[in-house]
Formats: sequence, C-alpha cells, structure tokens
Amino acid sequence: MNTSSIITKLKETKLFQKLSGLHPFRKLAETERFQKLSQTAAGKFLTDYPLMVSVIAASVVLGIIFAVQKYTPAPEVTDTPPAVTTTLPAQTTTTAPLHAEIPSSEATTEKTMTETRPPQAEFERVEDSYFNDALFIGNSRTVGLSLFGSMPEQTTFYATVGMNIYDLLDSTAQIPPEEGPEMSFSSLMNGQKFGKIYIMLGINDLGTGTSESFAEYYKSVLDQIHQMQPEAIIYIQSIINVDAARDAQGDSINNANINEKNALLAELANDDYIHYLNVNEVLVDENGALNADYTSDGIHLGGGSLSIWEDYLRSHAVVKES
Amino acid sequence: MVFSSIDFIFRFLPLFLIGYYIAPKNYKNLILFIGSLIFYAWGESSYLLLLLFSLFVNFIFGKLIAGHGQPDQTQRTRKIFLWITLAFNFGMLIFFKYTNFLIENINVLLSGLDLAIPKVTVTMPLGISFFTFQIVSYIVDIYRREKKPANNIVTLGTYLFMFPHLVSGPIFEYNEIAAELRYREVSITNIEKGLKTFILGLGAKAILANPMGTLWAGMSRYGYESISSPYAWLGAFGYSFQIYFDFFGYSLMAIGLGTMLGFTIPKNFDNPYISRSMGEFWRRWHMTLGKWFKKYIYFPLGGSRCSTPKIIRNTLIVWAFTGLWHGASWNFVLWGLIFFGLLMLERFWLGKYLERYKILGHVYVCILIPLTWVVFAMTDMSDLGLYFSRLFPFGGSPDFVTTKDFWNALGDYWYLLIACVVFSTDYPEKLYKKYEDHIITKLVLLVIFIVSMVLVNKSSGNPFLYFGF
Repeated sequence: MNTSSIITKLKETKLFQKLSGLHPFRKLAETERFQKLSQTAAGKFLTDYPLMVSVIAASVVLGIIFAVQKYTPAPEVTDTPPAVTTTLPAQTTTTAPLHAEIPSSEATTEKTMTETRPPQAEFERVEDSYFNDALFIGNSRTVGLSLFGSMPEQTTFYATVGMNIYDLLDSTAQIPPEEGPEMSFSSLMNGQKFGKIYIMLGINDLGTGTSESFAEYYKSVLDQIHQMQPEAIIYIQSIINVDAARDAQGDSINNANINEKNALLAELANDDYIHYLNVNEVLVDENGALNADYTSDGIHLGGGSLSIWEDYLRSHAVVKES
Repeated sequence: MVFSSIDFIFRFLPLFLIGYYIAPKNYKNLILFIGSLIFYAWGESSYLLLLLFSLFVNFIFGKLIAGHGQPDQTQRTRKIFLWITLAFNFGMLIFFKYTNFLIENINVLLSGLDLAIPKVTVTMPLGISFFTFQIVSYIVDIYRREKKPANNIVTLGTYLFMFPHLVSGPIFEYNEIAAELRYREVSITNIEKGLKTFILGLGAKAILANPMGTLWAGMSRYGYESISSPYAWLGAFGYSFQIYFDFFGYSLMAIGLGTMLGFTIPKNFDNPYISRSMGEFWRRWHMTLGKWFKKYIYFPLGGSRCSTPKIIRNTLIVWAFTGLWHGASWNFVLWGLIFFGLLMLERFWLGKYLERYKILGHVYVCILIPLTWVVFAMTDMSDLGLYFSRLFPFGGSPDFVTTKDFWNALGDYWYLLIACVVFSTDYPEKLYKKYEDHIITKLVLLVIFIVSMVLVNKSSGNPFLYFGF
C-alpha cells in the first residue's frame, strides 16, 4: 500500500467529499463578486501569489507585535514584593533601611566582608533527619539536588529551572520538581509549617538590575517568608560560583558579579532567624572559581558532586534550643 | 547572520529582494554580490577583506591555469599554478581551522621534553570550510579543462559569496550554475515558489531542530555521570534529530532562497534516516559534500576500480579527511574512521545480509547512526567515554542515577519526537509533492511561517527571559 493509493481511498470516503464541499475557498471562488475582484490587477496578484502576499501581511503584523514587545519597558521592579495572602498574623519588622547597612560595593572585598559581619551563630553537624522538615527553594541547581541528591524523602523542594528572586513569591512549581503536581508558592507556605528554609537563588538574576537592587529585593522576599513561616530558620545559601571556563565567556554570568552579590547577601543574615551559608567554601578552587571537576556545564553540580554540597549543609546547621 | 533570525527575515531579505528585483538585468549579479558581502559582514566583518583577497587571488590564478591568450602555456606551468593555488587555499583553511589542533598535538609529543608551543588566538572566518571546497572545485575543474574560468571577478564572486550557500553550503560546482549566472529568470512566480521551500526549511529548524537542541543541552546539565541509560539513548536520538533537521532545514532554506533569486541549488538531503546501510546513508546525507570528496579525492586516488588493498586505502583517506573537515578535534577523526570501518564491513561482508533482510538494515542504521552522532557531538574524549558508559551501563550505575530523568524528558518532548520520526520518513515529502499547489498546503505553510517566527522571536530576545538555569 503506497501513499497515493491511501490518498485515493481517502478521497472516496463520504466524509472527505462532504468536507471538500464545505471548502470555504471553493464557495468563495464561485461567487460573482470574487470573480470580478480577481479580474482586477490587485485581485489577480493575490490569486496568483497567495502565499507571498499572506506571508508579507503576516510579517508586517508580526513585525509590529515583536517591535511593540521589544520596546515596551519591562514592568518596573517594585521595592516591596506583592503581598502574599497569609493566614498568619502580620509581623512588624523593625529593620533599618537597607542602604545604610551596605558598604559601597568596592569596599566589599571578601576580607572586609568577614570582618564586618555580625558574629556567626554556632554551626553544628546534624543527622539527615534534620532535613525532614526542611524546605529548599531554588532554581535548576536545586532541582539537581532534588533529582540526584540524597536528602531524606520528607524534604520539600520548591525549585524550577529558571527561577529567580523576583518571580518567586508569585510563582508555581511542580513538587517534587519536574515530576509532582503544580503548586503555588503561597499555598505551599500557607499549607505546611517548615522548620528550616534553605534558599539559593541569584544565578538567573545576574543580568537584572544592580547588586544592590538584587539584595534589597532579596531582603524583602526574606521578610515575606519570615512573616509566613515565623518559626522557620532561614538559610541564605551563597550563589555557587561558576567554573573558570564559564567565567571567561564574557557575559553577566561571571564570578566577580556573583561575589559582589554574595557579599551583600551575607549582610542580610541577622543570626537570629536568618543565617548565611557560604557554600562556595567547599566548592571553589584556589582561584575562586567552581572546581571544574564538579561540573560539566560550568554552572550545575554534577550528580556525583552533590554530596559535597550536602555535607556542607549537614555540618553547618543551626539547632534551636527548645 | 543565520536564515532563521528576525534580522534576516524581517530586515535583510525584504530589502535585498526589492533591490535585486528593481536592478537592471546586467547589474543583478553585482547586487547579489554586494548583498552577500553585507550578509557576511552583518555580524562580524573582520574577515571580509581576507575572503575578498582570496577571491582576487583565485580569479587571477584561475585565468593563469586556463592559460587564456597564451597558447604557449605548457602543461608544466599550469601544474605549478595549480599547486600554488591549492597551497594558498588549503593553507588558509589549515591556518585558521587547524593551527591550535596541531599545536596541541605537537605539545603532547613534546611533553616528554618539557617543551610547549603557546597556542595562538585565531578565530575561524565564518564558512571557511565550505568556501575553500567551493573554490578548490573551481580551480581544479579549470585545470582539468572541464570548464572555462569566470569572465569577470563579479561573476566568480557571485558564485562563491552568494548568500544562500556562503556559510553552510550546499557545495556546488561553478559549472552547475554558470549558465544561470549569465542568464536566469527572475520573476515573482519564483519568489512564490522559493518561499514554499524556504518556509519548510524554517519550520524544520525552528519547530523541530531547536527544541531537540534543548533536549540535548539538558543532557549535560547535571553531568553525564548523572544520566540514566534510557535518558542517554533518548538524548542520542534527540541529537540525531537536531542535527538532521537543523542542517536539512538550512539546506532547504538555501534552496528556497536560490529559487527566489532564479538559481537552481542542488538538494543536499534525501531522507537519510530511512537508509538501510551506511553506504546508502551517505548517499542521502549531505549529498553535495559526498560528491565533492568523490570527485576530488576518491576518484583521483583510483576510486573503486583498483585492487582491494587500494580500495581500502582510498576509503580510509576519504573518511579520515571527511572526519577532520567537520572539525579540528580527534573525535571527528574517530567519527570518520568509524564510518570507514562500517563501510568496509558492509562492502566485504555485511552488505549482502542488509540487502536481503530489509528490517535488519533499518534496525542497523537506526541504532548505529545515533551512536555515531554522539561521537560527533563530544569533543572531549573523557565525556565521550562517560556518555558511552551510560548508553551501555555494563559497569553498573552510580547510586544517584534514576530513570526519572527519562520519563520527565519523554513527558516534555513525546509529541515532538513523534513529529521528528514522521518527518524523517519519506511520506511527508510524497504528500507534499502531490498537493504542493493546493490552497490548503499554502495555508499550512503560512501557519508554519507564523509559528516559526514566533518561536524565533522568543529565543532571540533577552536570554535571561527565556532561558535560565
């Protein structure tokens, strides 16, 4: 049975004949008005070159749409994130304006950073069960941790490829990542109480705004999360550096940019309920780039290297005295 | 500039076509030549002068080799001119494409002596591999007296630089379009005709190849050690579809553009994935390249009309060069040698069974071709080893590997994978040929155009908006 015999068979079916009777162009072509129209020069052009004319028309329309899209300014990033409906009583935060706390970015070399940071909470080594009531928030790097890592079954992951700090509060994600049902961030936060919340976001924000605006927004997101989960210990994980090859590509995804943002993130820790974890400590080489042995694409940790990250978290936990 | 971009389709092409159509007949070649230079220089202009210089050199030497106006030109001097031109053209290709590869390998040899040659920083001129093969075919054909040299430099420049095929082929001989360079029909009917082919190619690239590329890029995200075996196989098939629809789409767009300009550009692909042997595959895949290698390397060496050891030698040389031409890295050489091995196997043993059992042939091609593409894709040998250990996990898998990755990817891509399989057969082409001019076909093409442009626009914007980690 070849194609042409299938086609002839198809043509013999009643359905086909009925459908072709309904053929809009055929009916249209039979009307007197159309006949007349097609005899004019423009009409003849249209009937002779239908594809070209319609492609040109479509191009003009698409061109306008694309241009409008391109030159419409992106919605401005507001300083306060949209309010998330929460069943918990709103808390008043008494943090001084952020600008005052941040030293100028030139001064935030790694040395001064550690010096100006408030005294660190005592980190302890913990068992895996510590993570049973933990929530991990992140992007594809955290998706990797969920897919290939060895965190306990009970650990919750809220992570999607491409997640960034600005979208987080309004986002939805599959839980568990890439396999479970979609759930919105606010319903997750309202539906379940977490003991610890680990956040690693920022690699997708490297091209947006300044480091200061990033940290400021990050801070407001932390405030919201704290409001929704007042009892949770919040961990800011440093944005993991990229490897030397990725660093050299010359775009905004580079280690200088990441370091600048991490320095500001470290400042957000209050060592009461927000702690900063410099995950990079165990992941970078002597030049401060992500160790190339741990990654294939220069950005994500390979499945075999996730244990280094996990070990760091296990040995850098804060245990609340109850 | 690539064909499947907003810049090309919404800016360059309409402006160029208007200029091309209103230009008087005698100036159309010049307009096409200048348009092609603009096309080439749109993104990076640094090597334009170099290629123009090469054009000039080849034009002069083409004349010298032909020996016009000098009947006393001896065979000897013609040969000397030929070798000078070949040395110049291949020298340029080797310098820009293979210098660092050579240095790397010399350094490996020198490493025992504690010596190392520093690498050089040269970027390769866009399309130099195709450009070189085109110009060599021109020069050699003149030497063999198969054709006369171009009468003026614009004609030769138009042939070489013509934007439909400048960057990625198809490779064709000067003879094939010499007549059309002198006279060709330029009409709106041809635009309508060429547009159909162009849109088919655009669709293959934007709707099929690009998402398959995303599937393939996902394989390396968490490292090849993390992927499960079913996922590794899915990736190999995904990459096979990406590379096919990308290149096939590009060639279709080239042919369509050629038609719009009044040229007949030869076809480059003939449903390669329905082949039943590697020999057949290479008669259907990148056909114009295979033709070049046959004409300018295989046949001069003696082709198949010689003793068995010589046939083996000739095939080996052709495939070592075919591999190396695709890229300056050992995996490409390995890739070429694998085809040499398979072709020899077919010639002396397997061929008769493949001929007899059709199903066996299809299974053989459908399993081995994706594996050869994996070799092609992995420029890092340790990555290649790792990937094959995931394809064939006889050594066991790490604990963290799970087949979830396979099911996730299948969930995301199943409908595109089915489309890719369908469009790899020859049924869509047969159907299209039958109903090519039906109004419904044109409507479908219009939809393909709109969908493709939306997709192209989406991926050309801020990378952070659509791609992320």
